[in-house]
Amino acid sequence: MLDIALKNIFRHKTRSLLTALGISLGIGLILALGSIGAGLSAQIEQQFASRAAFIQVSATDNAEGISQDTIDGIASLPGIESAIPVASYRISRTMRGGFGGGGFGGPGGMEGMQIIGGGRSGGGGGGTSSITFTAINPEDIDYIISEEVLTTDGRKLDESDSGKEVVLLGATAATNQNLNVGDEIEYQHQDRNSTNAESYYFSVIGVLEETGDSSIDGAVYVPLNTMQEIEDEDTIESLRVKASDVSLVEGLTQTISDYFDDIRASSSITIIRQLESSLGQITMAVYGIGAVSIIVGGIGIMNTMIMSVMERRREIGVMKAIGATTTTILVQVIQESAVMSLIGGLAGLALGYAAVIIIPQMTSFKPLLTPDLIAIGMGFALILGIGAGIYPAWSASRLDPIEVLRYE
Amino acid sequence: MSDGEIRCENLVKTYNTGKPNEFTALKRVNLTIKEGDFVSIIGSSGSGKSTLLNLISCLDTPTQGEVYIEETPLSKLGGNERAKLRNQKLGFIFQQFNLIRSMTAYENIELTMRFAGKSKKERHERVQELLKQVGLGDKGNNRPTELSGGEQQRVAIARALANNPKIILGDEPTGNLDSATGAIIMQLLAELNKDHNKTLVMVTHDPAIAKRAHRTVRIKDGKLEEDTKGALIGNNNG
Repeated sequence: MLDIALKNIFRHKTRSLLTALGISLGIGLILALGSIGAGLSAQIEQQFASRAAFIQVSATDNAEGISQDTIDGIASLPGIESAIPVASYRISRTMRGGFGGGGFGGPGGMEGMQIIGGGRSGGGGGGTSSITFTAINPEDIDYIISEEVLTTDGRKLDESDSGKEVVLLGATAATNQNLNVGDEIEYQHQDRNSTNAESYYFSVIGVLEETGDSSIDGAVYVPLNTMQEIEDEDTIESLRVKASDVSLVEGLTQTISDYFDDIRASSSITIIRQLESSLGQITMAVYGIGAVSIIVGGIGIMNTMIMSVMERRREIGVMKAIGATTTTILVQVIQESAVMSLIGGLAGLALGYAAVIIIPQMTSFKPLLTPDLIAIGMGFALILGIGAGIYPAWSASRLDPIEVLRYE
Repeated sequence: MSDGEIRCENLVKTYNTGKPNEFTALKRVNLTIKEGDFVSIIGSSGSGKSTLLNLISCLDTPTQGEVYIEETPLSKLGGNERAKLRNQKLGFIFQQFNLIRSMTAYENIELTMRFAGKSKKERHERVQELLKQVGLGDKGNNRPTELSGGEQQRVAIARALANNPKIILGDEPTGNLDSATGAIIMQLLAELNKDHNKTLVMVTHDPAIAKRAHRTVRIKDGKLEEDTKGALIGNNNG
């Protein structure tokens, strides 16, 4: 009887098309929004998965820094795989016009806030951009980035670089700063007791391949003891502590905060949890919006089906008279409604797919149309079609052939 | 054998029971129509003839009494069994033809067989045979709007015959046709009765049909008034 349902749908092409359009917009919206949600989730996962095992330890604002004793103490805690000292130094740099530019040194900012201000500014004439040096012990480089991350040019830092004025650039940092191996970055040390600034020139020894992790791609790595000598410091601004297992992170973060003075510890786990929870709420809201639009589409189907049944009262009466059972009529009307909704659903899938293709071309964001989402969308369309058909089908099946044949 | 036999016993049909507008359309009607009979039911508007046909058609239920189709008491049947009986034991021909407009002649004829669950092959063979039988061998793909009134009624007859019922029920089958076409349709129906031994029951105003019938039954005020061959035709006030 499916052919009869199809025939009835194509009888009123415009009406059926508009009805299906209502559904397709609803399903398309759900799929597009759902894909954006899935894309966000994937992005968060990609951004944070590699950092989940890390605990960020930093000196409190009034403290001088983290002493070597504290570093050793933290490193000896059970469950700690490594405790890597990291410091960051922010400088501004003038693009093009040489390496001049007002330098500014000293510990500041947080590790992980690398290139600030979006890198390049203006088109032609040399604006300023700021760079944050991430100072680490050269031998720790493979802990900070993975061993698997290679350079596209030059080499990584190694022990021999200790005390030297060299930098290793992340892929994005190199592109944004327009720097290649052999180029130099000027670092100006501002003496606390005078207005004189002393310049140091750091040469680029390597550029890393792109990893997709902005904390690596945007980084500018320099040897820690070089910076400590320039700035005349003997304490460490922050530590990057890695737990041997992600499940230990929260406990260890608490332990470090409680046991050691003048430092605070935090981990991305909490941030990931918060982000996931916010994302969950956004997703629910988004599905709510989609659900409303789908319900509107469903009402459209019901309306069309009621009209269609009203117009075909006589026909349905004839069918009953010549032997169609109540079930036959019910099934036929519900099929019609379900098929119309599924056509709308497929069109909605096309719309959602189009959105997934178009969005990355207009933004840097990449939505993900997952098979789950497609199944949910098509399931919605089918359930909606059947649901919207029930009442019209029921009223059709109850038509009295005597009445409709006599009066229609 | 009771194939093609219709028996009505003490049929009473009251509408709006218990209300001020209570109206009894049939008053203790007894009628037996034998296999292969050709009966015309005549009577003025509101006489109860359509009510009687609806009861025989298994579309309506009597207030009292019983209709037997081939010895099956209709009051004992459930909704689906009634639908099945209409589908397989009865053929219907209407004044308005009542073909499904979105379907071709072929599909209209086929529809009855689809309700009966016949296979596609079986349906195809039978529809081709029926189209030939009613003289529309080349018009199977035409829609009702592309057919003349007479042709539409032929399709309707073919549809009524599709599941090979013994009983054909007609409600003014020539009422919407000009007299020449009506005569051809009547000829076709008479042949079904004569050559295929179908039981024909026709509600009609048309004296030509009544003339062809073996028996004419007149209903007046809900009662079967007379039941004699030929005697009533002249009296037909419809």
